[in-house]
Amino acid sequence: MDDKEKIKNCCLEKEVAPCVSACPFRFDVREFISRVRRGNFNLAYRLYSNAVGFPCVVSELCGEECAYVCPRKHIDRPIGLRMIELAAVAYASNKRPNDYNLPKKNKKIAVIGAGISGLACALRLANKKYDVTVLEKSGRIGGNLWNKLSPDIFLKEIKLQFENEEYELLLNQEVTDIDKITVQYDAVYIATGCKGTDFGLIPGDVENGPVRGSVKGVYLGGEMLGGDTVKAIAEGLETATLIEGYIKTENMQKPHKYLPTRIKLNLSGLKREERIVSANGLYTKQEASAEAWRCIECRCDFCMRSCDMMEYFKKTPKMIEEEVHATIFPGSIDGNGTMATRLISTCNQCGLCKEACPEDIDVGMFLRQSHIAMKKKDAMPWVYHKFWLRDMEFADSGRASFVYAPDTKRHRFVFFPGCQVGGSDPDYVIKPYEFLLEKLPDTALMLMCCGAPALWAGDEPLYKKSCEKITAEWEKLGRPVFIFACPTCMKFFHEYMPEIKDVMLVDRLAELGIDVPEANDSCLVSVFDPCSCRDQTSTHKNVRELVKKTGYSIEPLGHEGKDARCCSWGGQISIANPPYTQWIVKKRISEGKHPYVVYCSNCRDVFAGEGKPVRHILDLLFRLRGWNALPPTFSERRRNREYLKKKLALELAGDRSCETMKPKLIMDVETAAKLNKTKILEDDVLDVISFCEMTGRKLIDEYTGHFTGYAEIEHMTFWVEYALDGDNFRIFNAYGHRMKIELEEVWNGRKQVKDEMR
Amino acid sequence: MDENKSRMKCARCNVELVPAKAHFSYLGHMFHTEVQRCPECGQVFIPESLASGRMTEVETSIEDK
Amino acid sequence: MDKIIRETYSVCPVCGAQIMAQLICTDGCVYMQKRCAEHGDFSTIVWKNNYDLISWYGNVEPISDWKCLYCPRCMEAGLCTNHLNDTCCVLFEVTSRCNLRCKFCFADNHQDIEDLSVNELRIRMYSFVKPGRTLIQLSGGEPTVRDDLPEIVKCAVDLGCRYVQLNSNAIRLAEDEDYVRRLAEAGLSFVFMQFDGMNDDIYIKLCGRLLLNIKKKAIENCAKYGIGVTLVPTVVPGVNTEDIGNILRFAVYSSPAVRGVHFQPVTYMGRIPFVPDDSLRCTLDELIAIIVSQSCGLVMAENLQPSRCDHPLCGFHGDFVVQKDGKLFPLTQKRGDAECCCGSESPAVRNREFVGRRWKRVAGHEAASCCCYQAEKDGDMTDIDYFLDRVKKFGFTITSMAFQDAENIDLERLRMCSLHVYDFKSGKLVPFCAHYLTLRK
Repeated sequence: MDDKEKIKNCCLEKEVAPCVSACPFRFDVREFISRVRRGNFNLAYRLYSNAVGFPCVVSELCGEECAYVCPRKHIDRPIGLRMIELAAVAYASNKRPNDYNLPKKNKKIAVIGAGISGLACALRLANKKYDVTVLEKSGRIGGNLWNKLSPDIFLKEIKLQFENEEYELLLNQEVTDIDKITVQYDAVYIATGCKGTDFGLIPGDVENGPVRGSVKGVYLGGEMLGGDTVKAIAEGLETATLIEGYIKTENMQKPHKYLPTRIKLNLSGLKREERIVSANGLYTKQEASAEAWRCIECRCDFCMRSCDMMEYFKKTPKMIEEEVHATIFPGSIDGNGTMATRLISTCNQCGLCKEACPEDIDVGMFLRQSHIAMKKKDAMPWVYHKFWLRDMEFADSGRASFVYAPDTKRHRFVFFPGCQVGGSDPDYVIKPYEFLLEKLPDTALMLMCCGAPALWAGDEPLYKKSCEKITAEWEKLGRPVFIFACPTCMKFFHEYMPEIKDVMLVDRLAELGIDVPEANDSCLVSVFDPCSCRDQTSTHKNVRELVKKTGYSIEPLGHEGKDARCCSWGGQISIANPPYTQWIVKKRISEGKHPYVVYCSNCRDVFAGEGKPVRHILDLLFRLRGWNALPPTFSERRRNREYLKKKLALELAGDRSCETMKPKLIMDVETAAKLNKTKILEDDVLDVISFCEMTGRKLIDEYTGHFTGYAEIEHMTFWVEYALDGDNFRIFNAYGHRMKIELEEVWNGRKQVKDEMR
Repeated sequence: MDENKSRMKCARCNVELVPAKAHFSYLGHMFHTEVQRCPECGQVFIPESLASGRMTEVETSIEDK
Repeated sequence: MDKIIRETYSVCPVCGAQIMAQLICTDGCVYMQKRCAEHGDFSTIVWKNNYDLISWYGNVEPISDWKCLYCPRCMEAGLCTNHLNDTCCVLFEVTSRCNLRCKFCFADNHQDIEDLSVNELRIRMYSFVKPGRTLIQLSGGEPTVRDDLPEIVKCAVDLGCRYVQLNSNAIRLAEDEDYVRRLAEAGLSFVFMQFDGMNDDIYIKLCGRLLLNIKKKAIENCAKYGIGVTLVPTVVPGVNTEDIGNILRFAVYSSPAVRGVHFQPVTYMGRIPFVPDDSLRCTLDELIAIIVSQSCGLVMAENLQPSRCDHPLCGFHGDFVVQKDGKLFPLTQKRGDAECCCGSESPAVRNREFVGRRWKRVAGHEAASCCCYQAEKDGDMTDIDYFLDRVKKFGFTITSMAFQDAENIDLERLRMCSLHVYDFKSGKLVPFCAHYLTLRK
């Protein structure tokens, strides 16, 4: 069963509370509790009365099946629901029954037995204005109630409930010939009570609940089937509905068989609270309210409590599935819906929901599949992931990508740092690799992207291509074990390329007995586990031991290890949903008051960007950046990766070809800030300049001597004002617009060829 | 760049720019306006004031509130 | 097969208690069905499926975990923490008196309540006006029964109101040109003019007077002093639903004096002659269908989009530019989130700026189209400057606001309301439909 099916069939959101499941009336306890809490006894009474028919009687006699299953029984005592019901009955100021202003119906129904079961059935049918006749053998109504309650109570109650209704009551009428009755009436309910006659109309075995008689139009129920008075009342009420169904459809419907609830509950964190005890057997209003507040409102909400996204959007997994379904398969004239596109792109896919769910439902995986489906239809907005896909392209391009195999016969290992680690700090690659080569000289190096951005963008074909490339290199190197610096790479390798064996860099460093330098400050820190590492318990341990060795003491976070939360990077959602991203980051930062030690470079950069003191484990092991270092800009990340490739290519492979690579861009601080703010990358600027220089299409300002030119890059057009500076370029300004310049192929006969990069 | 004190020339053709019509498209709408263009090769010049001024106004008008 | 589209909350039209409600699709239409424990079941039609309701809803989330027990009774407390939108416009009643007594009047005007002085009104305005950020609607009763209305306008402007709107039947604006001049000088931004149809039978039925020529004169006077006018028809089935095409054509013809038409399907609040049944309701989708069919090609359905600042079911909007040949050049298209720029401003602010720009007149008084409708050489809408100029001067909006009454009020919509009424008793801002909610007698 895929995750979509699991959400539809296994999710426990709609499962009722145990008390509701156990109640013979399937009473809406949650709503009742809610009304009592607010002190609204009238409304509470009304709900109760509608559910049970004779509230005074039921509240006295009810066997409280709910108490046997109330989860509070494991902690203190079950909710005293019957006591609350008695209070509702006592304090409702308006107990007059509803007056249903309906037209009379022309159907006659016979009820045999004026016990409370028969009367319950008669009541509901009379409410609906059917023509009801109750035939009672004895000279009085109430049946078995005479043995259970004072007649003051139940006779008064019966009178009250029937206040607005008319029905025919025939006392001292023993029915001897049932056929006469079935012929005269459109339907019959036989409720002759304990040891009462069934007129031979019960077919074979008796199941629970009202029974369909062997003659059409006849139902039997109540204490004659065994079972207690309260159950009898419930059966009477249910029979009224079945009879109405029969009259409307001419089909004898079976009573609904409810399965026991499958709900699972999170009871941890519940504190002991003693049940409210009343002084004299009846709660006061305050006591009833207080007892109602003890109710934990059972619902399966493990995922809702853990997942930031479900909390932010206030959507349950079932709601999410419906909206996504409606988005992928819109049933409208207007074509493709856009309803859940942003939702699909907001999930971090951190796996926490699956971890928390008692049924193991992975909503993140469902959203990933939905994203893939939407992308296939080309229905996802390009802007959400374009930037990241370009980054992936860059990481895999000749400018940043690099494979090095040391000249040994076999390679047991390959270091695969991933596409972001080197961008954050080139030393995060250089220093560990130096150490690895020292201890394991046959360790190869692969600098490229694992393909995660493609998967997060829903581009399955692109991701597959990436996997093929990696697998091919793996084969060429002799199938080495991968050493990962980035937990996301590792997670996706596990899922999609499980044949490749791997280990986290941190674990390998710990195993190899790396010397841990002592920190020159001593402080309290918290270790922030990345969401993609939630299952790697040995890594959690290793990191903490390394941190302790530096001399820091560790204060645990509220959520860590298996329960780790995403820093916000997962899914690369920051362009699709900036306010949500910000909200998460701030939340994560506020969850621990001490500086964080992380072991995913994306966590590091996200937190540093919001001013949180943070260091990567590699910062500690190799004495790199301090607690307050700012994260690199987008352009700096590119420069870092190019520098990394250049340096390693030169030092390891003697490759000087990269040396004559890119010219540098020189600009003042204001211009650099303007570019970063408007997300104009230095690469874009360089692309524009390259185009202008190669085609010669540029303008010159006669006064300043500056060149100005433009080029179309993806969906934008960028303009750059620049000047040559030796081998480099000096940048004075850059801006862009979304409108596309339409270039005439032939410009008034004066030019024949369109400007294009060769 | 101080737009008041500049005189743009086409660097390829070494000719001064002249005012001429240029065409643009956005979200299915076509537009044109007069800008500085090279009379020989047709190269356009769009100053920042136009890009962040009237062009942005038009883009916003069409993009809905 | 009945299908539940939405679960939400509403009120009992008899006792006003907050009750649960469902939007259920049955027999090809959507109804709000709800049950009051005391007063029984109620059902009101809300959508006639001329267009797909689910698409119209878009991204809006239904109510879940609803906590506000008092909603919509917030006249004393004002907006609660569950309210989802900032204030876009404030409706400010400057008088209860009126010079008409229309059949349907949401404000249920009275003649006997004394007006507050200008100074008093200024003190009240001071309490809610945010300089540079408030669009105030002077309303009533009929504001123009006050001779000192221009002073009130000036107060509003001085206090920093971004736009000052007048809601009026315009009788005085037609009969007293000097009054109009004074209003313009005081800084009035635009007028929302009651305009129920193009023939006087309609006015007799709804207002008890012949009013068509008066309305036309009022438009003339406002045009003379550069005050933009938006026509506001109350759409009443059986009275003026056949006249909608005529209203539209007249409005386009009167551009740029007329900046748009704002349709209000009749709502049963305030003074209502009878408790409505479904045949007396014009749903939003029905209104769009009528506009499209009666406009004879002037307007297409895809150019009328759900309101984005308020809840989509609260109305629609369409932006156009009137061309020289009298046709409407559409600016609004259905667009996905793809092209949406993630703005940092709230929807209420964006909405306020957008409508303010559209409904104001820009200096320059040429007629939008030639007076005899001849196909003149159309101005070039591909020229950026002509486009921008035309958009500014001859911008035309077709909008609608579907107010809610006790039969059909939907708290999922109410909590997104950005049109707030200043309640004089409590001094608080209250959502429009909560303020004028009227229960059955």
